[in-house]
Amino acid sequence: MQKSLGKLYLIFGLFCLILTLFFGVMAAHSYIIPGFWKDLLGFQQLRPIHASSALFWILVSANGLVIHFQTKSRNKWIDNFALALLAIAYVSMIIAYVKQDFGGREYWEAGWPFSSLVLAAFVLLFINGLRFFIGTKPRKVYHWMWLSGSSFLVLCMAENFLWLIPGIHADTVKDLTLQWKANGAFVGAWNQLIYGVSFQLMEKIGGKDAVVESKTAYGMFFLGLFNLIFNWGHHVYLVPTYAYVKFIGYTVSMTEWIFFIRIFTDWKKSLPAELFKLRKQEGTYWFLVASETWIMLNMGLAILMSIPAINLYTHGTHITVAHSMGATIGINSMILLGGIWFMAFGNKPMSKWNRFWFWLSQSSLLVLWLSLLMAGIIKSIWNSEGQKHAFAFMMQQSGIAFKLFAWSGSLLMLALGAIGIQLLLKLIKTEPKLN
Amino acid sequence: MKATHIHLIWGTLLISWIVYLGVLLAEPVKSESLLNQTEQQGKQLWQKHNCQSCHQLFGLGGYLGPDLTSIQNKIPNLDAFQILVNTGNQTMPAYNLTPQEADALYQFLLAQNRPGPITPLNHKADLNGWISKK
Ligand code: HEM
Repeated sequence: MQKSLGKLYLIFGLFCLILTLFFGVMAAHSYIIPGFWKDLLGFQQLRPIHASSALFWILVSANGLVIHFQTKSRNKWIDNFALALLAIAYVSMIIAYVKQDFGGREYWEAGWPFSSLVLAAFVLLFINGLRFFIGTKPRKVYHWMWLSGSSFLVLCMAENFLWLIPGIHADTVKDLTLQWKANGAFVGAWNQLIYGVSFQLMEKIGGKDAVVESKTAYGMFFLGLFNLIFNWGHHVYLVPTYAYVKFIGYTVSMTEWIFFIRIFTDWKKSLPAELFKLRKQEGTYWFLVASETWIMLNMGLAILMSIPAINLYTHGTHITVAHSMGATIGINSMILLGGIWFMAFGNKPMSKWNRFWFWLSQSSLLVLWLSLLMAGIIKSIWNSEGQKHAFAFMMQQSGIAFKLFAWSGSLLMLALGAIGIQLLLKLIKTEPKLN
Repeated sequence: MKATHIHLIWGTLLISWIVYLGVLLAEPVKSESLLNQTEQQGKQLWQKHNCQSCHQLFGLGGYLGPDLTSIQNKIPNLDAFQILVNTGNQTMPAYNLTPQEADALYQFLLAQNRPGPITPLNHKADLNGWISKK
């Protein structure tokens, strides 16, 4: 029997998810217990451990699912070597954070030699993805998404190293602009991989073949790629950067209304009563419906934040964290969990307990998201009043929001942890079917 | 959709990415945004100690501590800055910076203010969604 090449990636990815959850909850406690773990693992260590683990969970698992579904033309050794590089990079980054050996940039704080291992792994994954792409005909929209995702992961990761050029490091504005160009487009690149997985899953669990083949699907794919390349300008509205970057960012971000309306109508269509009954038991279906719901909420928020007049108030507040965590948990993680669920359990009915963990994850995520918005609104008001009270006073005023954040985060850790551990054990014990 | 059309659009988008990056790289340096030697050393210290995990510059970074783009409004001189970074506070760890390092880091932070931060105080929201200087 042919074995799944993606399985080891997903075991590693799930392991990162569990660490992400644990260290996220620890980091959140720094907000409610000042000086929490300060001498053991302070916030300056917890935040990068948490955020890098989250990135590894998403990147490794997205690639793992793509590899699992690409059953031909891939070279096993290249995939295994890329996985080894990613594992070495992750472990050494965590050790560097614990030892407070920093020197890198946001999300890759451990210095460039560590992140260069990740870049090398992306190059290998791109080579293997290209082999698959060339050997596959007819090609579907998700094959194009995977190719785009793996190419832009390489390009954006490489762009992330530009600050090493002395002329760029010395130029505050250019450096910040390029950093947020790379970071913004990087998220777009992994989204291409993940949305490709979601299309593949929709086709596999049935009902959406026509959607996958349609011109509209290609239209949305190109619009997504266009946004990846041009919409990152909304990260730097408040940086004194080149005016055209902001203008392009604003204009292109507004094309996201098209996605928003489309996704809303699709979402309503995905819930007719018979389908609801038919699919009631399947984990994958539920994770996909959850992701579509979160796409709607987060895209609504993202579009509003991309309007400079609103961004002026929300930038630099926890509203940004609500957006980034809402998207990485609600959208990316839900699709990834749906995909891994499909590999591990196929169409088997969801048990009562699993339905409980699923709904607990959704409700606690909603509270976490709202609590971040609440903390963000308090800071926005403080900013708009010219920061007339001390920073510490404003943080104290946000106390209830941070408490809700830490408590709902703990429940989320429990719920996603229970689902993640089950998937991890199942993958370790059994060989997933290649179908 | 026809394969040639897909190749054409995909290729055009990839080229656009390259062109956009090229345009940004070719931008001439604005004098107020250029860091001198000491400020660059300060920037390296900022990265080495991962100050960005708790602080922001231009609103970018972590959120546990305040934004440091306009540091002189919060910490008016080097002496006060040196005491703060070397003793820490309830949330912030103490760093063992030499006077020279503390100076470089402070200079780097002061330099952030040169191009001028954009805040709700010095900018206003327009009806078309854009922002303009007050
Ligand atoms: C699958 C689970 C999770 C993912 C993918 C995730 C992802 C992220 C990401 C991407 C960031 C960086 C945000 C930014 O820079 O804007 C972040 C920050 C953070 N996350 Fe999570 N997160 C997860 C779970 C949690 C949980 C359960 C908690 C607990 C409450 C938590 C607490 C935090 C904290 C405290 C920060 C730092 C925010 C700051 O700088 O003030 N995360 N997370």
